[in-house]
Amino acid sequence: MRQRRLSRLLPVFAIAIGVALVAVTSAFKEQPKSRGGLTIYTFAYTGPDYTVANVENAANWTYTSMSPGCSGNQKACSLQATDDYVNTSGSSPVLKSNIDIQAVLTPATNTARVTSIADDNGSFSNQLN
Amino acid sequence: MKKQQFITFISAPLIILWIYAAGSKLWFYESFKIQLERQPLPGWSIPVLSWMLPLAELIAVVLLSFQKTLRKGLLLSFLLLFTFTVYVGLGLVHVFNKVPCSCGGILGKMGGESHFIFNICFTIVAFTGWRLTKANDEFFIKHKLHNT
Repeated sequence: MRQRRLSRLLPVFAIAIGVALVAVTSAFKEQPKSRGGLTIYTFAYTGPDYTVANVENAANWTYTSMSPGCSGNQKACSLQATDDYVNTSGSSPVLKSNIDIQAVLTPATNTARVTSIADDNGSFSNQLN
Repeated sequence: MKKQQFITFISAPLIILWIYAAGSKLWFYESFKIQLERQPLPGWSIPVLSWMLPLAELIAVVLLSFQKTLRKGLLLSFLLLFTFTVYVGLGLVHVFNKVPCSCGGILGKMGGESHFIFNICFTIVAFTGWRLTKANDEFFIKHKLHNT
C-alpha cells in the first residue's frame, strides 16, 4: 500500500521539481551585464551562406539566449553586443545596423569570418568550417 | 530499503533530468536549433534531431512515471545517456574538428569534462535501475511460482 502510494506520488513530485527548475532557470534568467553595467545580448549567425556580404548584414544575425558554442576561426559564428547596438522594442532583440560588422574571406574554406564590430563593449567568435 | 522502493527512487532524478533537458530545449527552441546547427552532425539530421531529442526525453519521462513502463523508461534513459556520453567523450578526445557544446540550461554552463562526468553518473544510475528491474522481475516470477 505504502509502496504503491510512493510509486504514484514520487513521479508527480519529480515532474513538478523538473518543471519548477525549467521555470526558475529560464523564465527568470537575467541578461548578463558588461563591466560598465550595459546589458549584453548574444547573436548567432543564421545567414543563408558565408559570403562576406551576408556575414556583414546585421539582419542575418539571430538573438540567442544560449551560448552557441563557437570554436575556431574560419567562418562567422556568434557576436555579443550591448544596448546601443540592439533594438529591444520587439518580442526578440534585433541587431541594429550601426553594429557595423566587418568580415573577410578565409581563402582555405571560402567562408567569411568576422574581424571587427563597432561595439567596443561587445565581442565576436568565429568557428571552424 | 526494499529493492522496489530503491528503483522508484532511482527514477525520480531521471525524471527531473529529462523534464529539465526537454523543457529548456523547448523553452528556447530557436536557440536550441542554432546550437544544434553548430554541432559536428550531418546537415540532414538537424531538423530531425531538433524535434526528436525533446520528444525522446519526454517519452522517457512518461515511461519512467508508471510502474508498468518503468523498465522501458530506464532502458530508454540508459540508451539516451550512453549516446550523449559517447558523443561528449568523442568531442573531448578531439575526434571531431569542432568541439560539441554542452546544450541546455545549467548544463550549457558546464565545461566539457564536467558534462562528461555528469553524464557518466546518470548513465550508471539508469543502467543500475534497468538491471535491478530485470532482477526484480525474476524475483517476482520465482516468488509467484513458489506460492502456486
